[in-house]
Amino acid sequence: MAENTKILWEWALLASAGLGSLFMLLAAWGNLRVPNVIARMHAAGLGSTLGAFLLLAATGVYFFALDSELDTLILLGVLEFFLLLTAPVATSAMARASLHIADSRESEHLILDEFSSSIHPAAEGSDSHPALEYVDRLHSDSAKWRRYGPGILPLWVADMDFKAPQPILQSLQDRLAHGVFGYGGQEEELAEVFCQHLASTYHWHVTPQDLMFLPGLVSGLNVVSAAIGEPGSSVMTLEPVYPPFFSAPTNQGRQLQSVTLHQAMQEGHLHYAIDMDRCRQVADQSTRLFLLCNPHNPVGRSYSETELRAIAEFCLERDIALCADEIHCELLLGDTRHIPVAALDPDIAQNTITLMAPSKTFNIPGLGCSVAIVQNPRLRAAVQRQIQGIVPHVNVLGYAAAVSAYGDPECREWVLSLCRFLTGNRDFLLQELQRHFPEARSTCPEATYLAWIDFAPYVEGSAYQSFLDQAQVALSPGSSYCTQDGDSFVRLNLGTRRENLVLALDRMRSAVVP
Amino acid sequence: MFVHNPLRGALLVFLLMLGVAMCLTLLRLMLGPTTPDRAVSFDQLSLQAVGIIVLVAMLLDSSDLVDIAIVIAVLGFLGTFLLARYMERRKE
Repeated sequence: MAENTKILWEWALLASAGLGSLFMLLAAWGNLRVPNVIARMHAAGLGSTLGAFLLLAATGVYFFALDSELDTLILLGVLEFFLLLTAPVATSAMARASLHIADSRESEHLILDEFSSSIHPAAEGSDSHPALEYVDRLHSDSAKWRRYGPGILPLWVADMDFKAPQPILQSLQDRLAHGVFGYGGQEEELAEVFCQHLASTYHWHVTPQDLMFLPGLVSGLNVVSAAIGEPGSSVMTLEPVYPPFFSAPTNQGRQLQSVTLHQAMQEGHLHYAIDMDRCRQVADQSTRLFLLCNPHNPVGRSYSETELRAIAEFCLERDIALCADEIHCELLLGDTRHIPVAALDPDIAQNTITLMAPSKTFNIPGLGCSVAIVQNPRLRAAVQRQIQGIVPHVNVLGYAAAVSAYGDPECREWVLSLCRFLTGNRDFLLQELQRHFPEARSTCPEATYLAWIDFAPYVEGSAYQSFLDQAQVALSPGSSYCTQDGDSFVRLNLGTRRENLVLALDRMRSAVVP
Repeated sequence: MFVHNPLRGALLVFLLMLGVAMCLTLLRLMLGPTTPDRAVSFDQLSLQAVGIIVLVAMLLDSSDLVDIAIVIAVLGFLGTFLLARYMERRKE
């Protein structure tokens, strides 16, 4: 062999072996340094294989080009081919296996998790609702995502991670383009479309003068608490319930009479019912107002006609005004039907203040637009007196969004597909809870996107705190919904994409299973 | 023997690099923390062993050692694959 050819081969050998060793070293460093097993597989599967491949090539040069050993070259060729064939197979097999193992499953590191549907069969189809557009709100002004910051998956405050329906977005954009934000608001237009909506959806006929628009439902609860009765009189409510039901009466100098809902297991799920006997016992001369939450946040009940009649008649009998918060009335899961209590009969309507809002349904709570429906002129005047000069008007954007929410048929369609999606999320959640937390007791919500779950067998003390600290999942603490106890309960907001539920449940499971 | 000294020296340096690489991977093997982490490290160790064997084969000018590299590669692959299958099965 000519001397300079030999030198050329030697350089090739050096370059190949050097590069190969460098890759080996880098790959080992990578395996040690990168944060999770899925990423480490790149180091072992790509870096080390390439390193071995180059070292084998160098060996081929050594024994064949410099030593003319053909048999060794063939052996090395076979080995190279074998490595190229087996490396991807081994890596795929390991990746699959690691996805099956809970403690190493770190799907937040995966941009695309093609195996999530085979591991969680029901996770399929979460994106099959083109009407719903998921938005990553981590770096937005969202209270839900900001409060706990990055790294924590928030399933607490009751809003959804989906864009509002297109007609609402369009009407808001049109209103913005107008450029003038002077005094105003489409009060008449909204009253008209809302009355039509009540008539067509519930056969409930109200007139525009029965409506009062408020910037929020919580102010509604406070206004009503102040409007009915006098300082020192009592307000009755049913717990567990949304915390402002406790604070509104107290804020307005009223006594709170909280009656615990009757709790039982029904078909494997927690089921809550109104304990009328207990209500009768607790109610006294001072009781002037009953705050009803229907659909009931957080227990997910949509009360039946019988239950509503019982409550309404009890209130009429005892001369107690009834205030029904029906903000979740359009988030109906499965075949649930909502009945506005005031629509039951004219006598009940005369004794009832109903609070509704497009906020939860269309995911626009930040726009602050709610409506109080008060058909009794005396009650209306009492509420009006409390509003006067204290409660601000609904802003122009709130009106613009609400008019389109109730006036545009496309928004109806959107609600239907939202409810189908949420029903799927509920069923998925219950099935996964059954699989991974068989001892936990959960409601099967008939309405709302909120599940109320008792994790007593799995956590000591506050379930909220345990999951926040150990699973990096932010739920709503059960104790805020009860006047006593409730620590082992959490409220879970399932108004998000399915992948987030999968991730939350995985993290929660890893947190409680040592 | 035409491996003159500079080439032999370079091969020794490469051998040292692979030794360091192997130590790093062994550290990951010990740290874990999960079974898949250890399986990945095992796979990497077998590839590093193949590299070390062929470097030694060149240093000793002995092509017989290539056979050992083949055995290690086959065992490494089978081991990794079986570990992966085992982890999946155990979960079911």
